[in-house]
Amino acid sequence: MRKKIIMVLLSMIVLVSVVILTFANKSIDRKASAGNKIAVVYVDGTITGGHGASGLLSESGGTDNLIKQLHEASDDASIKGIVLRINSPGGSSTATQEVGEEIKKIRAKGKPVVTSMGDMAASGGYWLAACTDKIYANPTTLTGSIGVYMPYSNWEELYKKIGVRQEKIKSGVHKDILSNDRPMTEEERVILQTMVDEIYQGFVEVVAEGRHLDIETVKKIADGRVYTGKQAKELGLVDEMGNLYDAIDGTAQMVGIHGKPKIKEYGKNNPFSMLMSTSDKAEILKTLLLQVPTENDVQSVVPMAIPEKW
Amino acid sequence: MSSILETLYDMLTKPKEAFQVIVSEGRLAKSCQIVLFSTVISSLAAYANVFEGGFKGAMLLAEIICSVLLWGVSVSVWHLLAELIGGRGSVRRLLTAIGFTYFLQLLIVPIYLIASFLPTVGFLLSMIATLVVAVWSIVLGILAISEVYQLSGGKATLIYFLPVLIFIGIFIVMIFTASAFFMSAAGDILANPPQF
Repeated sequence: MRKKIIMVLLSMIVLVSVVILTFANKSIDRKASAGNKIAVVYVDGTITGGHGASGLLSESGGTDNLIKQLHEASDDASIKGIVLRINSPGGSSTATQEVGEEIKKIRAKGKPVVTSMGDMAASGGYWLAACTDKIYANPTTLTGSIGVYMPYSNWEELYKKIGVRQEKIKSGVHKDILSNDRPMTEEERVILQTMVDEIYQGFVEVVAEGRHLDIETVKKIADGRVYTGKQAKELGLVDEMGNLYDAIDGTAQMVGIHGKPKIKEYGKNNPFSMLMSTSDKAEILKTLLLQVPTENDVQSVVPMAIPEKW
Repeated sequence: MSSILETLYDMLTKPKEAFQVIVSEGRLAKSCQIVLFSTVISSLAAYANVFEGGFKGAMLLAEIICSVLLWGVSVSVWHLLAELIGGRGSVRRLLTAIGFTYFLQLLIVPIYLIASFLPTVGFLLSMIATLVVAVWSIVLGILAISEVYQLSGGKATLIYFLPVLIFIGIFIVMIFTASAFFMSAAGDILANPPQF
């Protein structure tokens, strides 16, 4: 009889525990954690448009995925602020601009976005940072590189040496602009220079607006050079020196979270996704290969918000 | 027939005697109920704050299916090994005895509840409790094998761990093979890393 009573009591304890864990504890936890979350969204590697690499269990790279993550963080009511962890040398100006506009929309809804720079947040990486409310960088972070370039190679002499003669039938005089089998004409140079200048102007305006600087001041420092995090702070391109956790704490303070905030990470690689998807190195190689111009491949020479050389 | 509650109580306090009763009575239906009930309750507790909605239901279903499959497969393998080593016993009785040991999973549930209120040491407490119950389950599993097949403790231990050792061996071989493959494939990239 004594054994039965003990076991009945034990069973009751177990059942009551399950009920509390399933229902009561959840509501306590929800109340405690409601609105106490800070999202961390990672911008890693070269910024390129499109889906990026799709693995069996994850997606990585490509701004479509990044925008999706920003959307999710924006729509999640429990997330009060977003930290953008940037570790990127830049990339396509169009893809960068698209993400930058998304960041501005999130900020317009009243959800702050703060940047934490990793090893580098240069060019397109800085463009994104300039769209955020506050920028944290490490003293040795490589940043800046505010500028735009359009890569172009003239392989005319090589083609002659190997006996290749490109023939083309074109619908208009500029249809084969940036062809690698002939020198660029002055008119074409002017067309492309105008495009680059327009995108550069847009970049400068984004920096001026985001950093509360006047256009002329930005133009003086936006000659394409790279700055360290320390230099960038002196120039007003960065707000604070600090790492990712300083940025998270700063964001928590900004939104009025007392104590340690709960962190929700987006797009962080797990061991399975590392096995199932392509690596960042492979992605960088792919991006570099895509930049090699081929005949009539105008897509490969899209304006790049990326440092030309490191 | 002894009461199930009394048998479970004895399994906690006098496991050898309890297994003698379990093996002699061979109540497989009761054992099956214990496996299902323990799996559902412990899974509900473990996933209480982890998953939501339909996904939680799917995880619970997967847990139940896996638990029953693991129960059946592990007992089949142990039975085969026990027969090979020279033990004589019934697979049905081993299935019954091992099923009763699933009851131990329920003992972690109150610990999970306490741990959920202790944010810092809670995780550690859950881990320690899980470890203790895991070790206890292993001991009971070995006792069950020993009792069903009338084998010595050493042989029962060998039977219990042999499938795990074989699995670890296969896993190590697979890791080495995969590493060699990836090292070879990535050799060119590592030798000439992309420059910026």
